[in-house]
Amino acid sequence: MEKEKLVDLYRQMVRVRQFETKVSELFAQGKIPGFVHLYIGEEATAVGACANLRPDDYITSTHRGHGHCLAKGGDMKLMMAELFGKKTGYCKGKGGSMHIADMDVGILGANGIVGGGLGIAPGAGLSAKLRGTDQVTACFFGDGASNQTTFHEGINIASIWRLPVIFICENNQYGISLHQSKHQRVADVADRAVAYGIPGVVVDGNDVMAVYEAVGEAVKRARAGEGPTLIEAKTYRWHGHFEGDPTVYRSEKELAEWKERCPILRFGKHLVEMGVATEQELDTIKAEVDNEVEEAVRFAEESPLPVPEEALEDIYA
Amino acid sequence: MRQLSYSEAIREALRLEMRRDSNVFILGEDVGQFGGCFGVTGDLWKEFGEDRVRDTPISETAIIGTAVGAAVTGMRPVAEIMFCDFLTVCMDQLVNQAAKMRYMFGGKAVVPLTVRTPVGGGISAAAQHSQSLEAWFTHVPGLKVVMPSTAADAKGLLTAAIRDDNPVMFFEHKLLYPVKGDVPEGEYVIPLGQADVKREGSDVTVIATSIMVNRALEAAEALAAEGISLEVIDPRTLVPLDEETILASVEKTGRVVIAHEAVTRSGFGAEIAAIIAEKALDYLDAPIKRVGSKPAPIPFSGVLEQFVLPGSQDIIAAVKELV
Amino acid sequence: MKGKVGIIANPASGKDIRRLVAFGSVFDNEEKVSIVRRILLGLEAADVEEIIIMPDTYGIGERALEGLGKRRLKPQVELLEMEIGHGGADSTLAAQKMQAISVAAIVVLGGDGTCRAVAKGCGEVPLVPVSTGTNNVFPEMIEGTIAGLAAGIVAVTGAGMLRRAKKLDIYGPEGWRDLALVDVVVTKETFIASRALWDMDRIESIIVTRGEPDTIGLSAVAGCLSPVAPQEAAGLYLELNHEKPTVTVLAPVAPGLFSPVPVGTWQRLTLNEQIVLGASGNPRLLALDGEREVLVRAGEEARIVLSAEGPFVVDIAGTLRRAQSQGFFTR
Repeated sequence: MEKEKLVDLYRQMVRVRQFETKVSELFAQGKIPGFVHLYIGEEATAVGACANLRPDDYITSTHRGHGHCLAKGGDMKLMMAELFGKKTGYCKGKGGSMHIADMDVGILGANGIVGGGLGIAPGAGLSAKLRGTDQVTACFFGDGASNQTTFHEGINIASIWRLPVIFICENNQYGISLHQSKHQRVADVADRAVAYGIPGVVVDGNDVMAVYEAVGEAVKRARAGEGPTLIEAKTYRWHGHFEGDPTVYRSEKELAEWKERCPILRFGKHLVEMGVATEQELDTIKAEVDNEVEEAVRFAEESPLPVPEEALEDIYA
Repeated sequence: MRQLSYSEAIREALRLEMRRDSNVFILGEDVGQFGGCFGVTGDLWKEFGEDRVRDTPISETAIIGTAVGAAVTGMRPVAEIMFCDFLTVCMDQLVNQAAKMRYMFGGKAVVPLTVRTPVGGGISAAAQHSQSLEAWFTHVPGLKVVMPSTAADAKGLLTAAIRDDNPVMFFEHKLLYPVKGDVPEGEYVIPLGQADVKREGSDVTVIATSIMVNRALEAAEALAAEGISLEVIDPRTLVPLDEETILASVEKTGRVVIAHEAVTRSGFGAEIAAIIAEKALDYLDAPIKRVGSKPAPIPFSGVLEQFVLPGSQDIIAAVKELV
Repeated sequence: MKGKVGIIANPASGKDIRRLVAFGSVFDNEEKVSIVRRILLGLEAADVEEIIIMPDTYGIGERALEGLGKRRLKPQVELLEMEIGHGGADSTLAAQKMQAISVAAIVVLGGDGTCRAVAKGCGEVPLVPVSTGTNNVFPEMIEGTIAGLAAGIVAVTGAGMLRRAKKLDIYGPEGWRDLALVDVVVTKETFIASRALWDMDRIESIIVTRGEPDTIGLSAVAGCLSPVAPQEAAGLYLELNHEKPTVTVLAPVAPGLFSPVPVGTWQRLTLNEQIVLGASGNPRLLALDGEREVLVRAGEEARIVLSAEGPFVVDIAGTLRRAQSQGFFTR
């Protein structure tokens, strides 16, 4: 991989991290209403996966969707404005954090229903197939969603029709407060691929290059008409399920261990060691992203609120 | 005019729309070579092939989910759910996904999706294959709800539903499938949201949906002999609802019976009654009467089932309480 | 009843990207549980006194016992006390601990990668490697029952037939860094990433302890060109030449994946002979037994030395035959 692309992977992860960090602050200050579910710690999965996608490829996302959205080319300003409930936001203030979508870059929506996207993604795959394009759909979901109907029905239907869908399970070990060992008897969601006759692989979800390689191979398969793949990325969310979650269900030690595996630090260190980038270059990226985030916050803060009556628009086409 | 059965009329609408627009495709259980559980898709498979008349596994959630995903990415799917009772299995994809996507995304998505599904009892199919659940969907902003009572309406409304850029629930009545009627040939579109006066009259307005339109017409025939004149109105689409036609009729007759096969309690009749009470109370000369199924699951045995389901005699009885 | 046997089963083996880039089989954990269960029964049949199992995140050992239902095993079975969740390092640590409590043998479930991790910790304790991984040259495809029985016989009779495997030691500027049991592949890759290796264009050279035409993985390149048997006191070093190959070798470099490999030069290695990777302007990654593992930085030197002092391995067929001739199975 050429330097430019490697450095961009780093930048994308930093964008997700800084965006989420800022959202966490703003939420604590009461500037962002509702629920927010942050992606901090899982950046390598969205970024590594989306680095294989073209603008016309699709993704379906989750309640923890900011990372997917940024990695797929979503506009940070419009995202931030949406989180503020502003008229200029992605959804004109009608969706908020859990419903950010951008049809122009193939983001078929975050989703407030755990496993919701697993139902929709095969449809986007079928659509590409019927229209005769080689677009693929990456379907993000968590370990919790892998116990939903949509997981089984969605992967099954994608497998029988050999749809160009990459099912990416972000196994962050918890379904809300319930540890994976208490919500399913398998430890590797990828094992379930066997039940649908498709390949299933496990990758280190905190290693952006590992995710990039695995999803890259799955994308190749999908574009070649060889059908869906299940990829399980083992990762961890640093924050609670939602901002404000007291996380009584996990230990400080566990969190500390995962923080040591920080996908950004790890990748940055490697880039420097390999002579791909200097510490200084990485610092510059962080500073640039800080500015981008500040710019997004300013845009959101300065944007107008929607007019109340707009609540009755956009219900029907 | 040429006569077609209700199911033939539906098939004709599907065929013409699939010929007209290559993005239209059908998916559902046994809709392909088998021709559909009630034979509605019939031989479409032969003309359009298995890609566009697509057999699915018995996975209602996947059927609707797939249809939603295809609809937001440029296709125009028509999903068949074998019995409307099975909509319970895919409610999330319909109610939380399909219905709200456009709105949640700030108007940036279109979800041109039609869901066809049969309602109704009368064939001893018991409690999980006989319900009429249309009212549930009228409660959800973002969905449109259509319920034709004749072959011609079925063709014209289905054509409109397929061309509509919103998710449309299209409820067909099982007992109507073989019923023949005049159906215009070629392209035939009935805009959604237009009620139809199925019989003009002066004494009592009967607002009926689906098969209860036929029951109301039978009642009107019987009561005509007794000198009571019924006006029978079929809203045809429940969402959007043509209130104007309904209110105009109420103004004319001053008496209203609302009839549907769904359970009376919290059925769509309650909504129509409320609209009339809010907007046309002054026209009323008598209380509004509702006719529907008794508050029981639909039973299996014929005698039990007939007791629970409403019939023309229930309409007649209701009318007689008003005049 | 006599003797102690350890079991190390790697829950992560058989799931990596080689299911995508090649045609590696998926080895789900329930299958590993089932194999461990049969190993336990084999050990019991041999009349082993004590069995120690490495704990893991999936609970392979617990589940194997659970599946026996009400049937109580005669040997005492315990889980090793240790912290888990650190991947291959778990297997190395477990092997060290098992060595420290003097187990007579360790049954290893996994592929070459798992065996390598165990070899780093087992010292002179003999291994009974059972294949459940992807590129499996080192472990045998053997029924768990038989593997358990053989390990049990080693522990009970003290008269197992053993052979010592070769290994390749990797040294960097600061001394010993790692080892490989089968092959070291020098690549132009710069990321460990998904660990697997499938792109021949990125490979510079291959060093093997063994390689025969019937093996799978990159050591098969040696096997298909100039075979080296496991018991031979030799190795092979091949340099690839992508521009002007002397010979192109068709080898099964991964399950179901045949690649023409352009070889420039090759030479046999004698024991203790070393290959020096001179300092280069570009970083290189060494893949050990099929997995990208050791990074050699730009300007850094590395040495790879063929050694006769790898782990001891139980010759299962030989051990069982000897046990038979000594009347072990008859009463």
